[in-house]
Amino acid sequence: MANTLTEHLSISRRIFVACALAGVSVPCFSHHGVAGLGAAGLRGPGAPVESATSATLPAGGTLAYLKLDHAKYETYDSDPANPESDYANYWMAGVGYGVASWFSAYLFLPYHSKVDEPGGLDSRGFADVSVMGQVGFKYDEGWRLIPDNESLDDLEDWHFTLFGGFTLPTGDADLRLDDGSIDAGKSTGFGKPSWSLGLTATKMLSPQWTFNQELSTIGFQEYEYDDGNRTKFGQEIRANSALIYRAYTDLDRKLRVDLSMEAQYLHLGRDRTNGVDETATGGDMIYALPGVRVYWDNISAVFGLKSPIWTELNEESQQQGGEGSEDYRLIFTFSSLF
Amino acid sequence: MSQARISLTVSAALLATASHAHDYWFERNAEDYLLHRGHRFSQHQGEKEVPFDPEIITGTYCLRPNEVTPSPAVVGEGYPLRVEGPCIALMVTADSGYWSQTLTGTKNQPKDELFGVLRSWHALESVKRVEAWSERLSDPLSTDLEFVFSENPFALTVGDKLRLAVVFRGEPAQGVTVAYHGDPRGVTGDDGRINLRIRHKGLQLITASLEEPLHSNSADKRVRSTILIFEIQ
Repeated sequence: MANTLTEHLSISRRIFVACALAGVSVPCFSHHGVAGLGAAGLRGPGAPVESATSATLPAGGTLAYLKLDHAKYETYDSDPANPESDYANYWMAGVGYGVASWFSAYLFLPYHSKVDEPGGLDSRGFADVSVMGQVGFKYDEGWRLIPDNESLDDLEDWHFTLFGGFTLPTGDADLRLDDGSIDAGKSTGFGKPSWSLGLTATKMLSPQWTFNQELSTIGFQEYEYDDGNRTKFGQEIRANSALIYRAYTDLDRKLRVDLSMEAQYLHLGRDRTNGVDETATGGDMIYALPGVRVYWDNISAVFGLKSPIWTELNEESQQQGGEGSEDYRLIFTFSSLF
Repeated sequence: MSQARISLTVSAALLATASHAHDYWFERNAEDYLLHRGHRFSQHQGEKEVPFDPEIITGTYCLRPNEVTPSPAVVGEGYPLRVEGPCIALMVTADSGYWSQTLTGTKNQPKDELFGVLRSWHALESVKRVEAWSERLSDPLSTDLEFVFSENPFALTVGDKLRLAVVFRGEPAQGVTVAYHGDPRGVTGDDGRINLRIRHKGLQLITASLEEPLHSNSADKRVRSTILIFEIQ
């Protein structure tokens, strides 16, 4: 239960951050990277693989987004009689719309597949839909909302976004596993809306280098499951820093290749079940996430390899299958702006 | 349109324009100015000096000290073309006619007079040199494609933003590609405005171009280009 609860957090993370902002962790937004996002253009600021960026969608522009986060977990027990979490695939489809040059709205639909070692209990299904809003602003001899039109010189200014959102309980919080049990960590919904709030800052340090910072948090409500248990997941806090290098640009072919390195700090609060702190949940960790982003015309594709480089989980030896205990995570996103 | 698309459009358009545009520039001669044409600032190769017939000049606009209305300037003959000063700001407009790019080079002829034309255009050009600040420079001097300032550029230093607008026939010109020393930096918005960052002291060279289809046997399109020149101490 504890392990799956921890992993559940990663689900939520993906829903909010990822989505919303995503390069959203934005993987969703980073795509602005789409030649869009992050994109801002073939010579504009770069976008990280997963962290939220300060790029808003152009007014009237629509972003289509798809992400796969494949998490492979370390296993602690070689006894086949005690199957552990093997891997999980977190899919995310999303659409964004530029309501104004300074305000973007996003809708994300996740699909999760969690697979245990043979003999374990798997789960899969569509998870909670999330809705996000993003307000973009900048400092250009004074604070101002992102204008309709910016030159490359304008894009060199500090850009910021405030984003927030919530999930709708469209997933199945009371999903029954093959043995008839409910494991909150393997459910595909939270049961009640959860919320997210974040801030991003982005600065082109030079024509080639871009710095990106995300600070965000996600909160949950207590939900009573059909089996009578009440669970409230611990709050998540993230601080993601990234440096992006524009390695190759071919204006004629509308092609750009960026190299990105992210350091992601994640604090997971301890979950509470039936009013009592849950053991084997929560902790702190730092991930390294190198990746490459390719822009071509109005398309952006990203590949990254994410792995924990420092962990201080509350009960680490018992938190197999949760965030911080991955062997690695492979992240792929595809987005198009039209 | 995405930022990326904008950048691409800008780059492509500017490169295209740059590939068939001449530079115009003034050199001071006592209180007068000598107008040259050639490839002094261009990114592409070409003759350093490309003399022109004074007949191509369609207008001169000299904003003289203590005046608010530009007046025509007396021009001489020959090349480089002498234009009478002094002026706080001087603008010269030209119609250099039809140009055609062929496999053997670029000719100053309409496409229907040549064989094997790859592309052709009608070039309408202008160059504006600003010597000192005047509030009057917030408005255009001509009705041609032209840069106007939103603020005194001579108060800026390296790293500051230069806030400009491009106007055509007195109205904001949207979607005009703008370059700083040949480097495309963006396109103008609905209000014709664009911001550029001052990168260095000395001569500042800003160019803009606007293309429109031309339904003619003489050329495929009409290219309006303008050059703004001033110095930052």
